[in-house]
Amino acid sequence: MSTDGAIVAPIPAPKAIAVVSGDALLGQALAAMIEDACAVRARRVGPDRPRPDAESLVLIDGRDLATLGDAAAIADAAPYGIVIDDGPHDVLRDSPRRTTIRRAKGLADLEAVLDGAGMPILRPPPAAREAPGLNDPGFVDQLTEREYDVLAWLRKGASTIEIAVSLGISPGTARTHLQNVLAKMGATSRLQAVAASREPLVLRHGDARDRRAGVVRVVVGARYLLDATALGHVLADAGIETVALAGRPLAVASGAVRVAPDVLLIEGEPFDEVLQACALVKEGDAGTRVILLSDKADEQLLSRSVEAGADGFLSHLSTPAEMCDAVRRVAKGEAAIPTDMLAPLLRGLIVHRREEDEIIRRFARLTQAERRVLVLLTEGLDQAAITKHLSVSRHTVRTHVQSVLRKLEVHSQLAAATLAICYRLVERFGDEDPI
Amino acid sequence: MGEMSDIPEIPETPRRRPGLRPERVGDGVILVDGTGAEVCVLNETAFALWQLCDGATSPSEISAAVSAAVGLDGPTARLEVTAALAELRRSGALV
Repeated sequence: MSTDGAIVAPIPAPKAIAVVSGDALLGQALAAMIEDACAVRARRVGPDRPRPDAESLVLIDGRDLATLGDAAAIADAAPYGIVIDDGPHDVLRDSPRRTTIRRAKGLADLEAVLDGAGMPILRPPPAAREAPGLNDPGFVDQLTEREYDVLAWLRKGASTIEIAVSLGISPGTARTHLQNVLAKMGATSRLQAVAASREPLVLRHGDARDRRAGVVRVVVGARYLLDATALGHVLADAGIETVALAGRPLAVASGAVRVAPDVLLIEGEPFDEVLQACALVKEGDAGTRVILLSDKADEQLLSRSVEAGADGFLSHLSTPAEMCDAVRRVAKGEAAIPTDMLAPLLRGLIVHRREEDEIIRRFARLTQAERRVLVLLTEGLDQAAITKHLSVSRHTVRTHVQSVLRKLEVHSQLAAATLAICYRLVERFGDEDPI
Repeated sequence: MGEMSDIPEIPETPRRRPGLRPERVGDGVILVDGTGAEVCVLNETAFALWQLCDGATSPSEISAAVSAAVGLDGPTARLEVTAALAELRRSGALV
């Protein structure tokens, strides 16, 4: 065969597969799944490992190229087709050898690429399923990302100002998003919207109680079908009964509540929504325990996970064996926290508890009238509205507000409201004296 | 009674013995003193507790954090932490 006069030798089929990924857990899970499915040698290659050998088909995880160094150099060194998984770091977008595996397509793209490389899938792993939407996927699809976030907070009972503070937007913007959400859902009130979106969270006990002794049942939830399938494959291979779901964290949580597994292992973005998903599942009466999977071994994220009720925490630096071990331990009622993160976690909890005690001490100084004013501040009322609401003079309200700020040691009404919301001062203590 | 008197008293805010340095071995940690002599071998959990003994943190604060972190009930966490701190004190890891 000749091209432009040059003799090109036929390229033999690749003998192995290298999954180049900075994400140790997912990279290994993908490699393990491909090895089992195609009966070829597959391994994960990370930034701390040697580069893939010349006989490997290289699959590059496009989500995490920042940690992989020069992806183009890896591509040039490999004689076989380079496959860039979709992600934000599509550095090889101009390469003629680039093929895209779309994570959201589950096994479909991967299967086609492997088949084209002479590595057909002989034993397909069970495919992941799309997690069910909140109630009517029709309206969920119409929501923007921000509106979805607003709805998620609304479902937690957040007020407009709490939503604004939580999402780092102005109350006016939060109100606009809220109006859009109601319009798209066809709801005329917040309550109606929350009621409509909560419906699928009702437990179906018939499913929940269908358990066999000794079998650990897990729902593994991930952003994308391919990732959920790979993680689920590793668990299933270790004898753990697994249902893999993909979608937004709250949608995965909604599906998990219906399946009522022993353990929910969940990853996703944004992490705040993963925390909400955790809290949602822990509120249920199925006794499902939750392990959060984060793309960072971050002590703050671990601390927030524990506060959200998580029973275990894994980072993407974990190994598949550690993931299986964590699932088994958590299913037995133990906690699963990376041992090297335990001391920082405990230190963080101690510091948080001290800060909380200090805030409660400040709140205890407030009079009943000042607490009433603080409640109205958390509801987003300004001084004029508070004056009207309490039927007192503007001067009195101004004096109360100044006292609240001085006693809470903050410099603005928004800071006072945020403090009260973050530490749930009104909700926990109301008019009672906390000390 | 004899056994009771063997239990070392735990200070209000326990403190690590100065001059000890941790060396990682397998799944645990060896604490060695300035001469290189081995003082004790700790598992990861005991090592985490030892790190918290900074002379400003009380056993009850540590217990509350352990309870929150691993889901142990309050009394069990207090019991476990007290036993672990007593063991650390007995082995010379705390002053």
